[in-house]
Amino acid sequence: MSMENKIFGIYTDGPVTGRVGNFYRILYLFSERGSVEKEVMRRVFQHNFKKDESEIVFETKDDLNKYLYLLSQEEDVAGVCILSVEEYNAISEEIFTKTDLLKAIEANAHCIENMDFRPKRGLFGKIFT
Amino acid sequence: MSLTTPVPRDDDAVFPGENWFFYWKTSSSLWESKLKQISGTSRVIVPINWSFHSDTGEKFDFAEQKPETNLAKLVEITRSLGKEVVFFLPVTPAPFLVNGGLPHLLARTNSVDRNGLVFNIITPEGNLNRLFTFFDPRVYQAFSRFVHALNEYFAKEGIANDLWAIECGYMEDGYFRSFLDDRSKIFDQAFGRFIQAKTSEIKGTIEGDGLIKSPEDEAWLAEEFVETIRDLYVNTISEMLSANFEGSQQIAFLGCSPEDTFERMNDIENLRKYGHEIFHSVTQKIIPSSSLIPYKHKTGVFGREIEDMITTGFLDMRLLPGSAWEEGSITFSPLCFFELYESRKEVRDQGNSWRDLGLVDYLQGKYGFTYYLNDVRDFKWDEDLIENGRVHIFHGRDMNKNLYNSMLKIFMTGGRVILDRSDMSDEYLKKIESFFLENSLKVEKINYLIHVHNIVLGEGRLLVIDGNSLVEHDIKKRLDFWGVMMATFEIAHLSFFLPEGIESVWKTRSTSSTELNFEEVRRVSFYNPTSYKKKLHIPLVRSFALLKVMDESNVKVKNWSQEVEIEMMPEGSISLDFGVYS
Repeated sequence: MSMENKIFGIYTDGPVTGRVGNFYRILYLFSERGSVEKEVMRRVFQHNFKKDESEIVFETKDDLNKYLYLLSQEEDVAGVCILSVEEYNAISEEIFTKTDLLKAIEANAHCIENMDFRPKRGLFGKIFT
Repeated sequence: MSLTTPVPRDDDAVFPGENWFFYWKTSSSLWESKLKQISGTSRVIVPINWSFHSDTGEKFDFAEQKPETNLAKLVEITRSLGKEVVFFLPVTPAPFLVNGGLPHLLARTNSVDRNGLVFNIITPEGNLNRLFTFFDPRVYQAFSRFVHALNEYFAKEGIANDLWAIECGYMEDGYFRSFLDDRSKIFDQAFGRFIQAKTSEIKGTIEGDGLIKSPEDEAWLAEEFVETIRDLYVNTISEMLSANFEGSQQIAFLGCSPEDTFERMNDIENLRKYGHEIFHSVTQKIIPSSSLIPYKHKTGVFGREIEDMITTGFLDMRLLPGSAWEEGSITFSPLCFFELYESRKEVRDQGNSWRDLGLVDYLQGKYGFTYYLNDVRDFKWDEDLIENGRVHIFHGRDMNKNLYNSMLKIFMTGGRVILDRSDMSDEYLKKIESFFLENSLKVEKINYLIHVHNIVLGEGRLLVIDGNSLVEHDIKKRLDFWGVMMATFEIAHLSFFLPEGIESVWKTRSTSSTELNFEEVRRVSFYNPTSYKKKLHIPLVRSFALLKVMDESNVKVKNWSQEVEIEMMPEGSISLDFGVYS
């Protein structure tokens, strides 16, 4: 699984201040272009889940996955791949360079594929199809 | 070798920025030739690398085995070159060191942030430094032994150089986040013992069993515990190395937040964000450090921001003890009109910080970064509080006897004060009412958006506002409010509209004998870290005379009779000096 055309992220689950129960929360989402803009994340959440809430939290893992799928469509990427905090910490243990850490994230993240994604074709691609 | 592949220079590793010197990264036989390269400063910052002097935490090497551990030689060479070493000793995990600086046998439990994420700090060479907890009692015991050994070595070698305890961290949402603030298993265990001790301490006096009644209580206590442990480490240095100890400093390392790690993993250096973090750090009297950012990124406008904001002036201000740093000096120092005070805990828990009240945004927009956002717990009375002519701005909720008396002293001796009375205790509300009555002070009541009380005593001004009412208004109205209030203080300043993305910084200096027409000289520097061309207009008003335009880089300047027009290309920067007269 390559970083190209994908978003990677870290999530956590646990209690959220001011609410009862455990919730799934996205901590970081990034691609080879940098962090995903908070405004985009909020827009996708408010449009598809809870309009009035600014804090992006989910009651179930299914909701989190659904959100990530919608985000992949909004951002027009091939998929969103995520790791839990525990998984990220575990893969970090024996890694000593940023290149290896990136590779380990790519290799271990769970991906939600965007079925509608079509890679942008370059000039040759357009000519020969 | 490809010409397009930047090769890290040995010097970049040894001199990571802002005159820091990593002595363990080069042979001691090269120290002299390398230190000769430092120019324009009399100070070399040398962070002490604990793990380099002790593999195990039990035995110590000061020039006995590795020649690079010879700090006495380093001090001597530096002095022979007309400079002085200033030592930094980390009391937290240090992001620029392998294992955060812990001897490898002590690096057992990863330090994790509030979300439970381990810290993976990316070095300029692309390696990862993982941080380990300082809450392990074995770490503290070993640290004490190291500080003891260091003191013996300093005494034996006659090393009397200044030494600062440093708390390493990073900027997040405009505030400092310490690397000591970890939430590892070891932290949890130590915090449990802290709670136990506190509970047994208060049992029999109040309801000891109910020490933690809400998550907020727990967060407060956790913060108190972190501070207690930080103080423990700092006090160890201040007691054992008393001859060298100068105090403690917070250092905000750029590129070290977890978000930065994920961006930097993809070779993205968010220089605009780092630039902004420099400005926020400086206004909170926190020393920024670019030591983890590769040198190749420090050549453009970001490099000039580092030079102007950190290396020139600010480091002197922070590291020269007490009166040795005089603001009336002929060299430029940061210009400051406003001293804002607040408690970090309160900021996070209550919401109506100066930022929430719109004051920080207002000051940044109208006055640039000409303010300091101080931790109210560090407030100490000083005669300079009156003499510097600044406006001192307090939250009523932070009031204690010392703060209350100092605030009135500033006001009564001709100083200028703004007080947010919301959440002030009944005790101090009554006290201040009595103060007005006893001194027959006329309280002018103004109704502009909220109720404001204005009290004048000679030169002194006291403006009392209600922040809780102000925060209910939208941000535009809050900014308007501050505009009206601040205009009454008649601060002589050049204001102009700053295009989005452009950063500016003001400095000031006293006049020389050839500039007697002016009371002071102010320098404003502009930086364009964006990818767009920007234009700004600076009106030339009475009492400000343009003296010179300098350090022009990627800019076009047109000087009209009424204004200066500056066209800034991407990566452009420029400085202008103004003589100020009344």
